[in-house]
Amino acid sequence: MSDKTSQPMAGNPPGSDPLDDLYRFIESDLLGALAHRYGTNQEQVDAELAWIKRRSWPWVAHGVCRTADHARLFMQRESEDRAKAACMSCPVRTECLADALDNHIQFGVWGGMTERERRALLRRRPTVESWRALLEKARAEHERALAIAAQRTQRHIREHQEDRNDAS
Amino acid sequence: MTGATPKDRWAGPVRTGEDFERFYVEYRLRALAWIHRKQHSWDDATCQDVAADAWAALYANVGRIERARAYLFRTLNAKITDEGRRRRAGPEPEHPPTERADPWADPEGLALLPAVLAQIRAELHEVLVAVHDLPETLQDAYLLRVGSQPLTSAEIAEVLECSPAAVDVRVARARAQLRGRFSAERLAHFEKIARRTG
Repeated sequence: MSDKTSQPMAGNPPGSDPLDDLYRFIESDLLGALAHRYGTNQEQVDAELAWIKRRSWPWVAHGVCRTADHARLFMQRESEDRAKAACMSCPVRTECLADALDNHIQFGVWGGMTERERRALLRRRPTVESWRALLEKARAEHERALAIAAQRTQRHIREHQEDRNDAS
Repeated sequence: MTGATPKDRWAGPVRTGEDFERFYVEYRLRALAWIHRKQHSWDDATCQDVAADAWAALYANVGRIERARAYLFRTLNAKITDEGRRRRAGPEPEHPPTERADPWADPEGLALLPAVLAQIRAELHEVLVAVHDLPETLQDAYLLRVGSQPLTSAEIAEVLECSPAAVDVRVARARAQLRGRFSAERLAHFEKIARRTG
């Protein structure tokens, strides 16, 4: 390194350096190239935001979509049916749908519902304060109903077997 | 020699989900650029994944983050390290990603320049190479400081896990090393270009 070049150049304010200015220019050029490569339209940015929000929730680790390409879930309308079908067997479907409804996430398939279906649901039920609470309550009731039905079935089977034993 | 703008609101906190979305829109490409620079052999999908992980960590902490930019770049560094470890520990991919040109020297990107600035491409490339040849610690500090939305010494210190004084020393060393790469005539030429581009 030569001594004559190790000092800031004359005419520049302290801390300013023509190389810094050039680098800022290079950076803006690079960002332009990345914008071209990754796209900047509003729909894409919104889809990315939806994907990021989904990733931030702890239940995502258990979702069947955890390894899916986000473009399939958020960008391509024709693949909505496939995404919805995958949701049907997902163990965290309730949490997923509840977070999407509570946070008014507009893009993608969440908990087996498309953006249009969620919008319609929100319009139909504008007074719901916590979808999480509502859906969890509904799930608990559903599970209780299933448990009661299972108990009844078992009782019927037991009674039927007892009747057969008595008859024989 | 701070060069940092106190005006950037993202030197401060991210309080709400709306804040987060605005911050994302403003820094989305910078985050991707940061990953590409550090890991230029990674494909675009991996870079997007790493960025999404960092942004998700940020979103999960909305309301608790006091310095958004520092948090973002620190988290990006952590996620880049995690992904690097994961790749080293995992099996070799069946189809390893093809080596891709460094986006900082991406001719496609440079082609986006207005025609009137085409003549300075060679000089830009020379500066780019000089910056890339800096040791990583100096390079990180320098790039966070001189970018279009420069971070303060305190923010950079948080990102690089060192003291603000050490940041200033690293930036000064980076500048000195860069200046040392070029002759006085070349620097004078750069100064002329900088006036034109600035």
